[in-house]
Amino acid sequence: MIDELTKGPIQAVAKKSMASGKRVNRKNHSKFIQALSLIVFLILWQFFSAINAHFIWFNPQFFPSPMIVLHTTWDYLLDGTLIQAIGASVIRVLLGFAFGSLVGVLLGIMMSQSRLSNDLISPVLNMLGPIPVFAFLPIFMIWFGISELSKVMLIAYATFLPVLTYTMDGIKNVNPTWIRSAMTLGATRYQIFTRVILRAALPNVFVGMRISLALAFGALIVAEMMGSSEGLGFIIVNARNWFKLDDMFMSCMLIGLLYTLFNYILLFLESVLFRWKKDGIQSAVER
Amino acid sequence: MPFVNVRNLFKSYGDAGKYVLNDVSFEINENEFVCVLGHSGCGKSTLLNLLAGFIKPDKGEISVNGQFVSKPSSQRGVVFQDHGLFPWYNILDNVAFGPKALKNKDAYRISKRLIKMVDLEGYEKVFPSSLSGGMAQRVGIARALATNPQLLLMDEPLGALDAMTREKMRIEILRIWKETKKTILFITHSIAEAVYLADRVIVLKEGSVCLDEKIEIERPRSVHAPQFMDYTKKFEKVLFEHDELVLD
Repeated sequence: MIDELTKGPIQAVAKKSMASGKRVNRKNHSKFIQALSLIVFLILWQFFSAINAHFIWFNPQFFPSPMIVLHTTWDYLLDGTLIQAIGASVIRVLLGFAFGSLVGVLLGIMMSQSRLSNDLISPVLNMLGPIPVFAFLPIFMIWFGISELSKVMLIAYATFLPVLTYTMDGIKNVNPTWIRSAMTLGATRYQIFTRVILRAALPNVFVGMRISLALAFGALIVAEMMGSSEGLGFIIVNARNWFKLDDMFMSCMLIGLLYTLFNYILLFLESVLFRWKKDGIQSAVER
Repeated sequence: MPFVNVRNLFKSYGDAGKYVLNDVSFEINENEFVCVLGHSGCGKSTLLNLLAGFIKPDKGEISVNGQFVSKPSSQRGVVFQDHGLFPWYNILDNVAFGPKALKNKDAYRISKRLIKMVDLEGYEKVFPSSLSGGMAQRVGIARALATNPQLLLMDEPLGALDAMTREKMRIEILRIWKETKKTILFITHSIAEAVYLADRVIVLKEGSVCLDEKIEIERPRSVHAPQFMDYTKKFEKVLFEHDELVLD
């Protein structure tokens, strides 16, 4: 009988749990280093702003310390403005990102399945792709008004192109042996598409979504800076008029935090959906 | 009427006048274990792809159990060299893929029985990435058997395995063949493997059948038996000499 079988699944499970124990330790260690990096960053920031406040190399108001930014955040929190601003930004980015991703995936599927639609759409996308999303904002504002729609559409537009490209790429690069396997197992064309091609392309879709997320946040802030009366982008542009650098720093920090949170949610979803994946340097070498 | 009937098969890949398969004809009886032996590039994988229905011949025809082959079918199970398991499904779902696609209500019961047959009970919830090469290949065999095909096509299934695992897998494959009583066409470039496994060996050379030989050794076979050596030498002579030795 085969060696690995004589040992039995129990030993395999025991080995696995030891390996996963090691992995948990490494993960905790990694998280500690990451937290430490943020703490060091905040300490250095506090330190330089304190030195600047002492020697006055330039106006200390232009370089507020983290403590001042925290204080400002607290004030904003107390008067309710902050929750309102974060809420507005989150809703915009969620709607735009979800809509853009949906359109990107659907169009990617369509273009990868039909040569005609690919030939019709890809030249237009190749032309529009290199134009910075922000150039379209005034056009979107004229088309969709200064309402929420123009902002959500700009975010959706920023999102959809990378998602579309990565979806198409994922579908095109499906291992042909998987498709052949499914054919010999009696799967219909629809089953092959839904149970093999889409499943195989899904990790690529998520890569596209993570790339899009940064672009979506960029579009959100620009849209809020140009035509909005609330949101984190609006706080920045409004603070500029009053030289309120601490407001700007607060808004920037919150945008960074929100992006990190969204990125973590995507990474978490990936880790749940793609438990089966075991690639990359982590699985190449055990350290 | 033979179970598998391959008649005057020609196949080229665009090169004008150059055939990968050049007038290939042979028959396989029901429950027979046939090995197709040949060097790399001799056309043996092309032959398997034609039998599976993945590609179409330029000329000639193939029938299995009286039905002409025109496209892939669950009646012809394929075991691939790189196993081709779906990495996003666990072992149970991989094996159950075929029966589920065919709307078989007993999909999981059948799959569990086959997983037990290939000695992987307890690994149902494991993903393919956690399996060794030999284990993955046995899942591949179980998966191919799950739709109860009439013919099992095996494309160098042991090609990517180490020598030790290969030997063990040969015994496993013979056991599975005896248990399931399937007709098997097994592609290999290993002479010893062909002599060890097959009822009959078809030697392909430069796209043509140059030898079709019954292996008249009782099972279990020993690689050290004089008869085994005789067959090995015979196939070596055909494969490594320039003179064509056609006994058919």
